[in-house]
Amino acid sequence: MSTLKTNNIKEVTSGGGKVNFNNLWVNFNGTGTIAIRDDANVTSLSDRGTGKYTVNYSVTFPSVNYSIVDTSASVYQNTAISSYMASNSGPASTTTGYLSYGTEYEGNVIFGDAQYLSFLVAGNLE
Amino acid sequence: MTKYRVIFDDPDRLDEPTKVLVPSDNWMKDAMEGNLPPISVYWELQDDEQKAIAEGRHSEFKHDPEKLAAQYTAPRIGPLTEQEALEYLIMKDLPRKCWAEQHNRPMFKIVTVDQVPSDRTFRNAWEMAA
Repeated sequence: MSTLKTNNIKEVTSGGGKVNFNNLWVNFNGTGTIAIRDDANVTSLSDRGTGKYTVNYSVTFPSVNYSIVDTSASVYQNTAISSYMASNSGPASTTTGYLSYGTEYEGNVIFGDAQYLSFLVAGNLE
Repeated sequence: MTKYRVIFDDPDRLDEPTKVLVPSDNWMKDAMEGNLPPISVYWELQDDEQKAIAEGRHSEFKHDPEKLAAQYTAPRIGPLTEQEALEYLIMKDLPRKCWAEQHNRPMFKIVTVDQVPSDRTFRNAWEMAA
């Protein structure tokens, strides 16, 4: 079996469905010494404090208008943790090359670490 | 799996706790196999975007297609050692002021995983030791 290795997938004819996206995701443990379980197209993760992370991409998007899906879960003190995009984390929390991200306890405004965090980004390549 | 981490402070936000950069093992493997573009490709893209942020036009900003394509088309720089890969990562993912400007103390250090505390109880009070 041969292996196809490529960075880009593009349609070759017009009028068809647009197959032109980046596949970027990461799954990591945000507790203890934080660690990436697995990822694609991510260079690194920054632990910026309790419940605050930055995901650095190995591919730069053409603009900030890409799509992000994130989830987080924790069994810490039997408390559910919900995640949201941190907006107070820098001059631009979302850029074409990284995203700053935060998790907080549900219904609270306090940042909290989560054990299972995952993050998926899809966007156009050009 | 790399045993290294990079701890750093952002010179623009010294009131924030020390940060810890965790390299992706997949990316490190790629770097050591020689699959990276020159770092200048990323710097050019970062510079253009920072300019747009400073000028208040970030939401409608779009990268120059030629510069964007260079991340896929630029000649690869060849295999890196683990240390060289970490240096590349520092120059790509840390705030540029951390490593490009002089400070009265180091703004980053490469450490091993076991030198990073696993107890996060006082995570927001972490400071880089002298």
